[in-house]
Amino acid sequence: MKKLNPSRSKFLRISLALLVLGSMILLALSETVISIVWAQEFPSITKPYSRISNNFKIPDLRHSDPELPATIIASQVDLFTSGPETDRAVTGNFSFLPTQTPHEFTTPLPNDVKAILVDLNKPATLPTALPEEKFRFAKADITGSLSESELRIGDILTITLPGEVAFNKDFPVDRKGQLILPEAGSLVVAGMTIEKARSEIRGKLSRIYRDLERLNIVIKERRLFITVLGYVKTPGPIELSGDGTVQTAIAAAGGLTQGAQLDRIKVRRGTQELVFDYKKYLDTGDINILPELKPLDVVFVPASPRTGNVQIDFDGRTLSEAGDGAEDRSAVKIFGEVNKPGTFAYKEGATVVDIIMRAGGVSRYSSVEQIHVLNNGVPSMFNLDAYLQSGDKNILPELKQGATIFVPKQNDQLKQGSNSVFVMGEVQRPGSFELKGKTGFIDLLANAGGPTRYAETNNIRILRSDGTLASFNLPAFTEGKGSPPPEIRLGDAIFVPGKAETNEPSWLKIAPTRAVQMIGAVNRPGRVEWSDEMSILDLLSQAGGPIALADVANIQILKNQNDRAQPIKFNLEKFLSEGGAISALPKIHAGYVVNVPVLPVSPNDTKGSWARLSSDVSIYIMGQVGIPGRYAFTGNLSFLDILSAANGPTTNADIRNIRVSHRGRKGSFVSKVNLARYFETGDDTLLPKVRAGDVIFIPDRNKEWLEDRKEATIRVLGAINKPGRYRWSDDMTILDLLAEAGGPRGDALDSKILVVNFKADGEQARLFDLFSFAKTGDISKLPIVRAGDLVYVPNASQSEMKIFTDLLQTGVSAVSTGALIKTLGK
Amino acid sequence: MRICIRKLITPIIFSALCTMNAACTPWPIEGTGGFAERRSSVSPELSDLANRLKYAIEQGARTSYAAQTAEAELQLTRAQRTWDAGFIEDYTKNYQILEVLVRDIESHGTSTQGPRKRIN
Repeated sequence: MKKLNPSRSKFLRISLALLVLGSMILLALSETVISIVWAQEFPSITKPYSRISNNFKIPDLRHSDPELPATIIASQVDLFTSGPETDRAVTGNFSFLPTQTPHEFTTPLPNDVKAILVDLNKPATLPTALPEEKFRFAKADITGSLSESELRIGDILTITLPGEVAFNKDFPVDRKGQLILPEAGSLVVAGMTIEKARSEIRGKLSRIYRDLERLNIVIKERRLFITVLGYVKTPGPIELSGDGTVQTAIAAAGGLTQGAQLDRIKVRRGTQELVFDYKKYLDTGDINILPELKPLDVVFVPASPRTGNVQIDFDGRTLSEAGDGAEDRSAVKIFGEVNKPGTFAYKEGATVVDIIMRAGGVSRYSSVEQIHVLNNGVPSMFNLDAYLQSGDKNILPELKQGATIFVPKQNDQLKQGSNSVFVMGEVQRPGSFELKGKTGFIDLLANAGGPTRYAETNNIRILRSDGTLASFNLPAFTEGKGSPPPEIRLGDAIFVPGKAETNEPSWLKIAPTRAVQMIGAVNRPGRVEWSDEMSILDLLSQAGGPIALADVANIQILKNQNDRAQPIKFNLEKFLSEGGAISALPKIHAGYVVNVPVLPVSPNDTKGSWARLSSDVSIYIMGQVGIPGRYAFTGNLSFLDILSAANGPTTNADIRNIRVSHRGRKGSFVSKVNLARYFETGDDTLLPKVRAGDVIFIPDRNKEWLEDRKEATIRVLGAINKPGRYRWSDDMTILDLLAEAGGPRGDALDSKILVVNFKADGEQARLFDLFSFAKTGDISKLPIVRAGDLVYVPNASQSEMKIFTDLLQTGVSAVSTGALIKTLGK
Repeated sequence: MRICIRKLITPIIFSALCTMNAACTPWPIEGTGGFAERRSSVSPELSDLANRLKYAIEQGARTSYAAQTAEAELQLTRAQRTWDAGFIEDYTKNYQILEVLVRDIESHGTSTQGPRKRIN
């Protein structure tokens, strides 16, 4: 081995040392460069954000190694809820897509996040083993800062200058990109960095203000002025936060309206126009589909071509069910016997079956053997039934853009057959019907839903297949008078004609559910087609108004409610005289019946007119008046009015004992009116208050006793001034009866008044000594007297003493005469 | 002459006795009960009914059930008079009618049934 020169060896040692030192320096320099690079891309936040949205962006984490996985679970991302790093840290898992920039958190951030710290020194949980040095980054500080961004239209600056009142407030960057500075005027700052803007503002203000040392300018908030037009609920200019997106812009414009086309929303920026698929964004949630908004952008939401050229309100769900085809040229149209005919968007590889399924499947009446498919103007026939049975895909025609599919109706095929009968004209469901077995005329008519209200059923015609004609009278048949229904044969046609047209439209054509029936005392009673916006006054006008004798104070309205008619009353007379709210008029609806009663012409008229007068608006007067009867009565009339209307009391009327029975009140109440005393005194309080329903009776002065039954009267006979039959009441006594009969005559034997009682177990006679009673007043000596009894007042000649003296006188005379004759004979 | 007078005395006395017998035909006894409602001597059960009716009238029966109350008062008078006059069968009938009427008036306070039919 060759021995080295000591100087050379020293050189080598020095060189080696220098090499090691250089390597170390280079290594140190390289790390410094990385740190510098990250320091530029992750600048420190000089002040906390006032608000951080869910889509807050962090700087690029892009790397150059294509072998790295596309996704890194970034467990090293810490979120701080306030500025200092010592505050609460929330560690979350966020996806980083290294190939895209800028990156966004797709996981919602808490609202109180004030800063984001990315600690790249912590190795990520990587799906595969990765070279660790690739992630050994310096501890990066905080992501993006407003202070480093360019100023934009909509930003709000806070300019403070202690001691100056004009400052210390917010200064927005207006739509022209300029600030309006106090006394200094406008200054365009949009597009400048904040530092540049500070310098410009300071320079502008220095012309006005001397001491600007304590001038402080910071960005307070970022806003976004954009305009949203098209199919949104409230199109117009809106203001968003600085990180607003298309979705927040649409939401701020009230949201989309029905009929908006989602896949062609545009963002106009000056002359540039960006079209994006908002529907795809809603389907996938991929925020990168949405273009980033910038100040003064215009978001335009177009209308779907399915909305047509006429602006109408439509139901979005119905429209959606009718298909989702947005473009007529490429969409596939399907109609006929499917559940949801419509236009559907074309998709590559779609088959007829796919489209039928999207149309809700075929209906029960469909003819699935003969589905018509039109591809590029070339018709073809598809047998769905055969396809489902065989599974042969060759049967399945390929669909092309703009294809048309028609599923025919099964009945259409029947029409061509010879086993059907046609029912036409005024039936509910005209069409062809299969004739099977014992199907008859009535069966066919029933299958067709029966005749409509316009049908002329008394002349139904049957057109025979051999060309002959027959007719049938259905009403006569149902009444058992007409001929039986004709026999129906294959190929026949039944024609139900409509009623013959007249000059005036048939009243049948106004359904009861649309008409009000106006009856009674109006000039043109009848059915009136009704609309709820009209009132009862409109109805009366339409009916020509009430006639002269109409009782408009008692209009009757028969209300139709829940299949029950309920009467209500309306006093039009009161409404017309006193007025009132129009809303107080009774509500009339179709189906109601309105009756205007007729007032009687005169009480002397036939009673027929009175029968129509409602009893609860009448008053009754009977007895000794000129014209007794039932009279129309209102609350404005009095007792004397109704007495005068009945031509007043007759000469036989007992006006001291007029009775008024007050009905319709709680309890029974009869008042007695002494009209004679009223005429003597003129005191109105003697007159009773009468109202509708009351009964007035004026009795007769001359009692007709003979009409009373013998059991109800008492006979008073004998020596009495007015013997006869008398009415009896059990609250009377014999004294009342004698007084009523005028008292005993002068020759009456008043100490021997006889009373014959007819009691249940026989008859008996009792004595009443009026004379003795008059002397003693002993009421126990009053005999009982009841209806049917007899009271006899004897004559004084019937006393014992009188009889005795008479007999004695007669005897003495006889004896004297006999003795005298005997003496003379001797 | 003495003989003649003696002969006349016998027929004269006979005639006078016959005349007195004819003149003394008996009159019926005096009647009672004609104003018995003014007296309190009625049967105990009728007194009870009268008190019930009086209570019902104090409760307003004369206003609320005027016709029935008037009928009951009339029946009470009839019953009192027939009792006092000794018409037992008539009294019994009147008493039963009165009892029904009073019960009807009393039951109106607790029942919604209409007045019962009159019993004759």
